[in-house]
Amino acid sequence: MDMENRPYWLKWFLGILVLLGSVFALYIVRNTLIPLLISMLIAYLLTPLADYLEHRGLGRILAITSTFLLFFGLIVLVVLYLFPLIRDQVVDLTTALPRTLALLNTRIDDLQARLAVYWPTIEQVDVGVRIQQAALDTLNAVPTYLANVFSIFPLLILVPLISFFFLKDGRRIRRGFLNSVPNRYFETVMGLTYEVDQKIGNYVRGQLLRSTVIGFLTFFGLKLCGLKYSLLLAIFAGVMNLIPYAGPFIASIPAVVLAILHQSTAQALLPLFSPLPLVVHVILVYVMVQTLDAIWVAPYILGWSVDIHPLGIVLVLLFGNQLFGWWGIILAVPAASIIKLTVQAVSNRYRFYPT
Amino acid sequence: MSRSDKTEPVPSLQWMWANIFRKGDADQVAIRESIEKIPLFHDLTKKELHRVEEALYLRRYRANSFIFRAGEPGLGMYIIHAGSVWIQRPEEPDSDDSEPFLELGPGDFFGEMALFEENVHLVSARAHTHTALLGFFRPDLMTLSHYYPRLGCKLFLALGRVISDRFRASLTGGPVGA
Repeated sequence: MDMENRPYWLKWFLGILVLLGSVFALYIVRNTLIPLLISMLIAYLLTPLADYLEHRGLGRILAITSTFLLFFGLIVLVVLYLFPLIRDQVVDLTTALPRTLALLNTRIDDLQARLAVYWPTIEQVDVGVRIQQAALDTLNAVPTYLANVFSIFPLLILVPLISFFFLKDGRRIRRGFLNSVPNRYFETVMGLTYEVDQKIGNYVRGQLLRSTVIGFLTFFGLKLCGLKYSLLLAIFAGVMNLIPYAGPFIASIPAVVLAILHQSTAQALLPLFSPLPLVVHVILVYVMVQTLDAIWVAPYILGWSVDIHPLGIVLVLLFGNQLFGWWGIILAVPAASIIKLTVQAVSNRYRFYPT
Repeated sequence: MSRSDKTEPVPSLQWMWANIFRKGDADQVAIRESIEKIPLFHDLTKKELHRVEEALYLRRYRANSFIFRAGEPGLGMYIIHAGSVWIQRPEEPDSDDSEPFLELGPGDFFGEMALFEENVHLVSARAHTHTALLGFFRPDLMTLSHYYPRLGCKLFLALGRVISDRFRASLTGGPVGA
């Protein structure tokens, strides 16, 4: 098909058709995509290190093998170390749960009773039972949900395998791809590939570092407050921070709830010399961590601008959720960044090329 | 591998099938020979030459197709591996048989100014016959000089010399050396 002489609107129409087609195709295979995407992410992270080692004199194979072992070795160590800690806290949590829920129930009844003085009708709304039921339902659903999202075993095998090959042959894959691009688009595609590479690489590494920092800060803050399960909450906060806007807020909810309930059983690391209730301290911790993040961590570590209007980001997140669920939300922003760069590159090309 | 390989009509089905599974070793040797002769890479050691080679892309063009037109943004330079290229000024007509401002052959290169910054080409480059070019682009040059500073220095120095030669020639109206 001779695209050069077709009317303008036809090119746009076909372009959009192709885009929608690809999105649809991706949607169909979305489950199998996840190990692939995770592997690519890991390869992205590790490639600079492997490149550095290689350029320092280690052969390519040796360089990637060492990087690979280093990375996964680190993960194994961390898991081995953290696992008992996490397991203890999870066990603690599940055994304490019925008692906690009962406590929550009584508190709510209390509150209801107090409010009933002003609003007699409130007695009829059995809020306590509703909440308890909802909580139990959610908790029962969590294990199955987690299993679906993370289906560990395929991940454990596939991810290291695929990421090793991406590390080893990533460069060759890119060259192969570029070599197959027709002359007319070659320079544009090549420039685009490099730009995307840089942007996404920076984004991924930056986000990871940021999550870690936030996790640490939250951990120390919560430990100072004396809140139980501080490790779990800190990890949760770190991970949740990957989700823009809503993430940090969601991360604080369990902590706040726990703080309300464990007022009396809190063991502070440092003697709490302020008379304020635990809840306030906990909220303060989260707020401070977020502020530090906004002022210092994010600008310094990331140092990038995605260049998308905040409203655009919200839309993008909604689409991400619709298409890919949790992973969609996390991956939506970099994906949008890629799309934006592509559109810019293509429109630049059409602007400069006379035909 | 024979010389006629390169003058064969490029995107024909026959050519494609002959080349699709070929490992390209013959190509590699030919490329290496081509590179060694270029004055730009005279100062490089064998290892450095190999590294540059890894960063090159072999592109094939049909006769009379444009490699780039004046006004288009440029990403890097092209070294002529085989064939001939006409360089045309923007104000000259586009027709097939107008005399070019400059005609280049194997071993020559053009477009090196695009290696330095993102800017538009000043002239058009058109493949006169079926042509094979070796592309060397800005991102690769930057990556190379990041990891191998010495190599980067040598390349930048050589490029600087070339550009100043051409500038001098354009001012004095003297011959343009490759």
